[in-house]
Amino acid sequence: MAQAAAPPKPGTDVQWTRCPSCDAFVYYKRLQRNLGVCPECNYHFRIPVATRLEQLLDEGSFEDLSGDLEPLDALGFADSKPYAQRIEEAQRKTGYREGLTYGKATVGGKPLVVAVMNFGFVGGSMGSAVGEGVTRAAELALEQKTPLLVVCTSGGARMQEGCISLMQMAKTSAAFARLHEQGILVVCLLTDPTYGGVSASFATLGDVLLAEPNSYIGFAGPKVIEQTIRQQLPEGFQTAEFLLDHGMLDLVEPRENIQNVLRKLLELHTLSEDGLPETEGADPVTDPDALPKRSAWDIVQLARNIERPNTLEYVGYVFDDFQELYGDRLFDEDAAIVGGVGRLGDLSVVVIGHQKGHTTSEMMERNFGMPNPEGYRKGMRLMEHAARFGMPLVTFVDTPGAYPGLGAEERGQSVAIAESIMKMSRLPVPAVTLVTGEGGSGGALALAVGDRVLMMENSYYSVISPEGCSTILFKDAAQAPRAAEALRLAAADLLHLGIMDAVVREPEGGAHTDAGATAANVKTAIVSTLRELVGTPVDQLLQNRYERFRKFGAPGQPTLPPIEESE
Amino acid sequence: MTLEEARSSLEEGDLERAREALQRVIETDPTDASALVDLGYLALGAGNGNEAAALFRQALEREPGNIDALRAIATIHGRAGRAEDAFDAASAVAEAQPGDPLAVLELAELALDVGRLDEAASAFQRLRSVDDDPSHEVYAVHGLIEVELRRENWRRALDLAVDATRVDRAGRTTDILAYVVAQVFGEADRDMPERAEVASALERSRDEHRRLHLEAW
Repeated sequence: MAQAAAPPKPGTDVQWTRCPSCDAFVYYKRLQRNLGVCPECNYHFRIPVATRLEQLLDEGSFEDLSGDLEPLDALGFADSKPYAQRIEEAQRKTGYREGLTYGKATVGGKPLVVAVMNFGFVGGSMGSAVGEGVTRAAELALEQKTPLLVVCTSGGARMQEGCISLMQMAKTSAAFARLHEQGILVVCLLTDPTYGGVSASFATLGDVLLAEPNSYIGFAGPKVIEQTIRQQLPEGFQTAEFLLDHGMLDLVEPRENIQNVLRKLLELHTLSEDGLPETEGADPVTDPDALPKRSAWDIVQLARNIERPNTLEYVGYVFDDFQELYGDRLFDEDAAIVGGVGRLGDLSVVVIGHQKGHTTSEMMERNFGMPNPEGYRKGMRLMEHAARFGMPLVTFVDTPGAYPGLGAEERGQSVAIAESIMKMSRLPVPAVTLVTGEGGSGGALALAVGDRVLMMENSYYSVISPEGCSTILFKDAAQAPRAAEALRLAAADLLHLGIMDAVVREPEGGAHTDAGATAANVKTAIVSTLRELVGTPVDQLLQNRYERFRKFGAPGQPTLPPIEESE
Repeated sequence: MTLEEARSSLEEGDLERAREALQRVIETDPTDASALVDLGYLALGAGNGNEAAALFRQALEREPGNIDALRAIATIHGRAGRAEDAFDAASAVAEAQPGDPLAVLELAELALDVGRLDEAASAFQRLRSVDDDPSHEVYAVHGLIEVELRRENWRRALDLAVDATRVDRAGRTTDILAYVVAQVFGEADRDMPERAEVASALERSRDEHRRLHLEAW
């Protein structure tokens, strides 16, 4: 049954509108006050360009530079109407010359270039003028070395401009590539809907991809896919949340948060390289004999203690600000590895770490800290982010190992680990690794090829779990404590061997007994290590890192005396 | 208490305060159609359809062309299954807002609901000209196909389905065309959908069109 209602339109007397999602009637000014979000169901209405600019930018800061963008009817196209006539009608209806507005502005006082697409103008389709505007915005950002924000909404390429429209995908992508090469931050805000030639070019080429809740984003429309595969698509297919779950977006944020997220991203990407903070924790230990004596097996138990602080908790304690980023942009979001951009005093760093939980449900959600290939690929994406913006990398290692699963193998677990090791070994920024709990083999090493590798006093690092070693070499799973000793997996031995550069002190009962005090020590260790590394020329940094790992197994390196049997 | 104060409460989302304020405005000036309309929407939001309808009717007595009241009345009739009454109200809305695609679309849909196929065809035809977004053209053509299917005018439906395929970027028309081809030629080049499936696809098309207009504010 049809229901009558209409959205209020500027210049009309209509005061009430109906939400297309929950069907509730909403007072129009209340909707405006609520940033165009239905107060009943949080549905995000499409908002006009001017409103979007108002919501995102510092008041009065926008300088419109798009006045001379003109549509181009290169083909003399006509369907039921000539294209030129359609453009004239769209111009009359929207009050805009074309479907893109761009200019200079500030957010939180930080300058940026902003480009906003207009879905109301021929369905936000990308013709030559839209492509030209996006490209000019990118070129301006490059020239001024200021970040670029693009607010995307589009049905795709504009058919009426034929291949000229198609070429805008290449033109805009090439312009964005130059920004990437120069380390200029590009943030794309994807709003409902973003499809086709726009989603398959600049809209998904940002360093950070943000989306509004429930926005539909994809390449082919769902109807086309259904018709092609003759199957019904799952609930929520191609929504922003669906894409986030599949690793394609960094963040899905409600409209009310977006300006704050943007402000934070701009701040995190415009900090200077100096100004590491003063710290109060204990200095890390470099003398193995200064470490308390504890059996390897006890240390393994402490490293696995479910109450032990995890990566996100250390991040909360250690960093002055942090923005988590999600997804590998390839297949999935793997919650077993977390990462993002953080701030230590005035230094921005990229943080990556394995993530466990404290409860069974948290552990299951994080796959017990055992990453799939997608986790490592997310890590590599963030390593590239660090390299692009010259941010040091801090990694936290705490995993029993990479996930041994069918899907993980199908999607290239070995390849992902290998590539992560290789990428980190040549990362042109300082890299500091801290093993905070379990350092389980290759799954740990994938995040541990740092210039300096540290470990917590009660953590371990090993080529295999003591249980695995015990079963294979001692032919008895009960021999795990003996295997733990034999593997020399604890901090003192690893310091002797040079695998570790320093060890971070823990409270007597273990890190979990006083997470705050432990984190203070962690902060001191990270900050003092970064102080040594920041400013090192890249060539020197890479050579030192190469040599750090090159030496293991080479003649003349330290060895450990045999273990004396206690019985 | 003034209407401005009541509306300020509405804007802030303080609906209880707004309701009290509007009641006081009406006590002071029972002819204030705007206050009646706002109160009507609050009643509708609270699930009091009858009370809302009475308030909208009072508003229309005082201001016959009040669009908010006319739309609300059409909605209330529609939700209550009174399609003829909804159609009359929607006709008034479309007459008052001739350039509003949503008003024309809803009139066309209600005309289908009450079986006024000529009026439905005329409204869908009008929709093709008032909706200036080229990507929306397919929706209006789908509406016209529905009309011709109901008339069992298969040849005309075929012409329209071919027409729709031409402007349909999303492949919504494939099954519809297969069905119409089978009606005209007795066979189709693929599995033929049921009439109910076609009706459902066409209804989804109208829903999508309405949604596109509702979500753009």
